[in-house]
Amino acid sequence: MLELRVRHRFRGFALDVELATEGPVLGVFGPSASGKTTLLHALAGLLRPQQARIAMRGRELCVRPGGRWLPPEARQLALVTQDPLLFPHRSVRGNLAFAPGAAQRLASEAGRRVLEVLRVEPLLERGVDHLSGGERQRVALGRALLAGPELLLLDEPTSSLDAELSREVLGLLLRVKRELGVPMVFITHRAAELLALADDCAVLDAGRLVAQGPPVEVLKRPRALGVANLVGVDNLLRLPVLAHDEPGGVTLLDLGSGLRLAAPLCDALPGARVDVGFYADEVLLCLEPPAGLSARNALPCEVRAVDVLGHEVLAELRLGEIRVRARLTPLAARELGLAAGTRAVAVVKTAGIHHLG
Amino acid sequence: MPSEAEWEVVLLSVRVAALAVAASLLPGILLGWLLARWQHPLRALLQGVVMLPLVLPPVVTGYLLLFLLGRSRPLGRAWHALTGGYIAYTTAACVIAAAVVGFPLLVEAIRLAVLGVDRRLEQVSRSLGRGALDTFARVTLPLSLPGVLAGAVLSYARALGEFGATIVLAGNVAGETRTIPVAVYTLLNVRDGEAGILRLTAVSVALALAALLGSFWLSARQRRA
Amino acid sequence: MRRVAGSFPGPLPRVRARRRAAAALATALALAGGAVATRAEEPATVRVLAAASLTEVVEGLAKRFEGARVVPSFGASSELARQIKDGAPADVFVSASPDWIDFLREAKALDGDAIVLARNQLVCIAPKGSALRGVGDPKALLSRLAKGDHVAIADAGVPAGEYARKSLEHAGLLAGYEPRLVGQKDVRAVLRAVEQGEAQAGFVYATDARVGSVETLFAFDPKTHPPIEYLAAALRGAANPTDARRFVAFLRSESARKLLTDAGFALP
Repeated sequence: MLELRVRHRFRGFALDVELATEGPVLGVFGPSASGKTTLLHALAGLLRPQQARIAMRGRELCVRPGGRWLPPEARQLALVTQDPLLFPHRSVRGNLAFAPGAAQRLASEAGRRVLEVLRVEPLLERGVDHLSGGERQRVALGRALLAGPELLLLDEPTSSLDAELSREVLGLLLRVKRELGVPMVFITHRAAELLALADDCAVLDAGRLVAQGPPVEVLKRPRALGVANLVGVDNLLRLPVLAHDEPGGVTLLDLGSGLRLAAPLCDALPGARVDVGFYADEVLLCLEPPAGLSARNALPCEVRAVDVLGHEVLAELRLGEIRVRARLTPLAARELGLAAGTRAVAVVKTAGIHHLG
Repeated sequence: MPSEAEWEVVLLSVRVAALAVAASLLPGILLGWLLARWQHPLRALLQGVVMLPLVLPPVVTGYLLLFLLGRSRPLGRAWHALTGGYIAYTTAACVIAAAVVGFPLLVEAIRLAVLGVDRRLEQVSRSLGRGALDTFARVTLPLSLPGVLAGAVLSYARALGEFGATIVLAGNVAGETRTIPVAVYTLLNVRDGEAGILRLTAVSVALALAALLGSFWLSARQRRA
Repeated sequence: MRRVAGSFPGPLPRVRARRRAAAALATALALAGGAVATRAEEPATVRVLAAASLTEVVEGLAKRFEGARVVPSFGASSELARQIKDGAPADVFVSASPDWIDFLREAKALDGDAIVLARNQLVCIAPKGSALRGVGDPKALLSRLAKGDHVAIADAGVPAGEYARKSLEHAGLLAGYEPRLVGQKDVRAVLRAVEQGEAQAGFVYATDARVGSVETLFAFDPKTHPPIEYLAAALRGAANPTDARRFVAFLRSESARKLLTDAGFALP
């Protein structure tokens, strides 16, 4: 569906991305300033990249330097921005009917479907000033859809909305995907949206593509520090390499105070520092050192704090000189009698530890 | 009560100023938009040239116009070929002088109005399928209209009061180039001209004040938009 | 460009505002003048407001005058007289017509009597190489003017303009000329307009025609207009009355008379 290769450098930032996707919905994910909006703008034709090739369903939109460059209005895309950017001098109807052909589409059966899915029918004659945030976003979406685009571009459609409104808009986007069948490329920094909406996911960090694939896989194995942060990996550690055990498939990292962490095999030199991360969910606690366990890491630790957050408990542990978090149910915390000062053993599966590039 | 001759003067002033603004509107919109949106090193130079009549003494502007448009000049001859007459000492000269000195005010107001239009709105319009000219007509211009009108009214007020360039380019011809300021100046040379001066001054102040207030009101509307 | 008394009007001249400004300026200058007088090293200044047609003569006399520094300004006699009446700082006034001297006398602005220092002639000029060459009188000129031709004349009230208008009226031609007349602020502006070719003819003094690069078509019959007389007087508001009176007397001196005749003026 979409092939894109973009290289663009400006003001100390360099974007260098090459990807191809069948979609139909591509999610672009990554921390702020990773180049997501720049990429979207290049796709939309709002930017002339220094070097690029962008093609949609075989049709070339942009070849730089020297080749064709279609202006935005010729690309048959439509952009929905984070800020809805409705035209203040036009009514809701005026906004919806803005694109060429939109007025006719509005009156047609297909147009009525769009209005129905987005629930903007009652807003038609209103002025734009007094709409709520959610209403504005729905009108912006409708305006884009009524332009009849081949591809819908969305730049963080829910970022400026609260949790409830975000869920509502996400639901609308799902309906647009399923019932109207419009392909989309959307930018988000929320993992949940990615999982709900995207078929394919491209992860950007510092202007480069660090991962691409189905959202579940990409999220489970975040391959960059910035992305890990974003995705909510609780434990991010930078530790020196002690030794490699190649046949064993393990690299030993120094936790200090004589403790070692067995991480998956990597090729860093002994003495070098590596970034690793693992979720709090991957940490088990035992009051006694376990025997016959497959997990390679059973490390003595001391509980520093126990935080009860609704239906889960986050325990802060000290492992050697490092702080680590573990997630448990309140039931488990009660049964084990966890409190500040409790000595326990933290168990972490090597496979649950990810190297971050 | 102003005499018939004085009403003629007032009507001429009003007509000349209106024609001056009408003639300046299209080039003013074009230049205002260009100065707001065009990213190019030459833009500063263009802005300087457009602003010149604002900082030059009006008489100097008048002499420059005479230099450019006089009988013996290419532009003057072109005018003659088109209309059969020459520019100096005609109502057309009044209109030209008034338009030139009011132009910087018009362009600056339009430039600020266009700058005030969110560029992202223009980007959205483009991405929805509207080309550059379409976007200008459907988005930029409607949103900057109060500013455009404010600029028009301001340059109208300036045109009403224009003297220095007018007197050089258009001289003092009863009924054709004797605008309010020129008429007042003429009355200064006449022994008992005070009463006439006061009457014309009063009309002048009233017109200018009305124009200025109108301009401020429109500017406020632009800011609120 | 010739210097003109006061400021050349850019924005609309407001009489009341100018009066206030002029009064403030006069006060400041009077104070400054007082300060200057106490310092023996500083030369005294005589401000002379003179008709535009006397530009070269008065500038020449300014250089020759001893004992004080002469600062001349030139313009239409009518405009200058009005400025003096409104309080512009001036010591001597030289007018191209008795009318404006009378005006100031009525306003009690004169210090002593006015003296007649020269006479002049009114002529009609055209740009160099004009097709109107050979035209001998105003009537002939009117018949030879084409559509769209302009005749430059000093504004009503300016002596040069008044003399010309009276002459045309005497010949019954004024109405016929009206649509063609383009007013200019003083006689030198008329000269410039004709020099530049924007006006096809203009009415100036014979002395002006000599300094400009124009052709003289004809002279006006002196019987058709009041005699063109230049008068000078010291002014009551003078910062420097002694030198002012001295300068007025100097205008009748031998060197003054020589300058005047060299420039083409007639002596009284």
